[in-house]
Amino acid sequence: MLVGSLAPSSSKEWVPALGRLALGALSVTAAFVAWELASRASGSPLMPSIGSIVGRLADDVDSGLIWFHARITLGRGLTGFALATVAGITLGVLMARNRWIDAAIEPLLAATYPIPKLALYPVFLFTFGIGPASKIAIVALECLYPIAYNTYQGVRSIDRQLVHVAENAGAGRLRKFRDVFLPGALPSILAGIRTAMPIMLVLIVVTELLGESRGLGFLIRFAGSNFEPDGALAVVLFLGIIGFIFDRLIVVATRLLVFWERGVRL
Amino acid sequence: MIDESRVANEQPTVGEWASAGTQVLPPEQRHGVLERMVTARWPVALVVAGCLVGAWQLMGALGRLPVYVLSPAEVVSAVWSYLTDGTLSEAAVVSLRRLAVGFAIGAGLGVTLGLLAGVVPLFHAVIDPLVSFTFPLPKIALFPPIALWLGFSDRAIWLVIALACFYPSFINAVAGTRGIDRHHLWVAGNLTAGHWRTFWQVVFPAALPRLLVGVRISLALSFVMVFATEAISSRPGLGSVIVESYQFLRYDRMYAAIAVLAVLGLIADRLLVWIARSGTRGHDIAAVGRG
Repeated sequence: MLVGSLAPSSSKEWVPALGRLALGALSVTAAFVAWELASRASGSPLMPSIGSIVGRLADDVDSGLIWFHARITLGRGLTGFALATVAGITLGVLMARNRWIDAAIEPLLAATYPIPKLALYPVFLFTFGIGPASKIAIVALECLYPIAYNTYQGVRSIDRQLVHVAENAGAGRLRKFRDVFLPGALPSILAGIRTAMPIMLVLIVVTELLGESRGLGFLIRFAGSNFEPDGALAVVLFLGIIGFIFDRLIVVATRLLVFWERGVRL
Repeated sequence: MIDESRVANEQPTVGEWASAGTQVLPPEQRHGVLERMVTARWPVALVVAGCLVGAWQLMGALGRLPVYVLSPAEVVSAVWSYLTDGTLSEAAVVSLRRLAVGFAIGAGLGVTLGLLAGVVPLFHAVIDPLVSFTFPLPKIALFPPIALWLGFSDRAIWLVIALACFYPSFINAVAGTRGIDRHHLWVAGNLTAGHWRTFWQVVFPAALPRLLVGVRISLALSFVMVFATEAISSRPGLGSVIVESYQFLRYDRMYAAIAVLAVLGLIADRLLVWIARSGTRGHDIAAVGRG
């Protein structure tokens, strides 16, 4: 059983695909039912039912409340994310292509990777003020790492012969960057972007939980301090949906952009 | 006669891959101090870091730094004085204890359930949709609602850290077990190894490097989470020391607390990598990955 399960050949799947789907649906339903029962049993507003959370979300979407705050949160988050993507790809390619830049920066990046950069947020607040700039900067800093690292490893793993062929064909630096390094590292870059996306959401929400009067993080804190768990959980649910959509978008973009690696499971 | 091992080794070796981008010269052409420095890499990084810190210190000595930026020497002396007077050492112990409990629960559960889901397809079919469903939620966003149930207590902080640590450990443990080379399993089967034997002597060691990547991501996340939860809840700890010092413009204490948290994060990570290296006979444990 163990052997069969670990190496499923398509003809001898231990759990057939349809059965898997049914089981999955069953387990999610069971989780919902368990939540619902717990909520009914407690009968307190602190344990809202699924229905009331979804209803609250529908209300907030309808009234435009969620959109107002989501636009602010995502505007900041995605700005920081875009900065991190541009800087990360540039830094990654430079490190992978120049031994001196590699030797100068890569060990420093590796050493600071496990450090919680979020702790620097107060310093960012002093430097960039309490407006959106400090939030954008901390998001950009934390997202930079996975993107730069993945780009670096992607460019380094490019077949050396491809680079030689491009050079023999007379490709300049820019041409090599555009036609060899970027497409060669693209699967890896997109993997880094996929890693960084949830980090962006966590960071932007934390900065808004810490002190802000707008944004989804503020909305959660506000609902929490008003003892409205349904309101807070509605925003959490919304964030989950946003995170899921972003993740799917990146996966679809990967399929479209990296068409030569279709069929490789992500 | 064709040397079969050579044919099988047409793939470039790790060293060749690594040098694809950077073009390493053959040893006889390498000479000069600079050349040796750039080949070893860390001396260059050390010089760069030294220059940066030196410039920062110089700016401080010349009084050119903004009032909210302390010079490196001032930060070091602040760390020393607040560590010795107990402010930071007590906060650090409290924070580390919280982090350890949350990390142990979250990563422990993630690894255990991940291994189980990796080898028992039935369990995988049940738990995988639940995990994929809840994975995109930023776990820290659950802190205010959780605090409504448990209060801004240590238990609420443990729960949030554990939730955040669970996912990377689980996802990578599953990926590690399911990504195992099936030849290993066939060999184990041919040698009539039982389930337990196969698991402990084949599956687990093969999954370990990938599994540890997840644990490493969880560990880094637990530091982010302990800061965030303490900063939000104002429970005493390094996170709240940083935020309070920020609010009362106690720059020295703020930088000292940040430095202590950063160094603790670094030490914890190095320790994990060191343990992981000895546990996997020298495998490099990537710091980057999904989760």
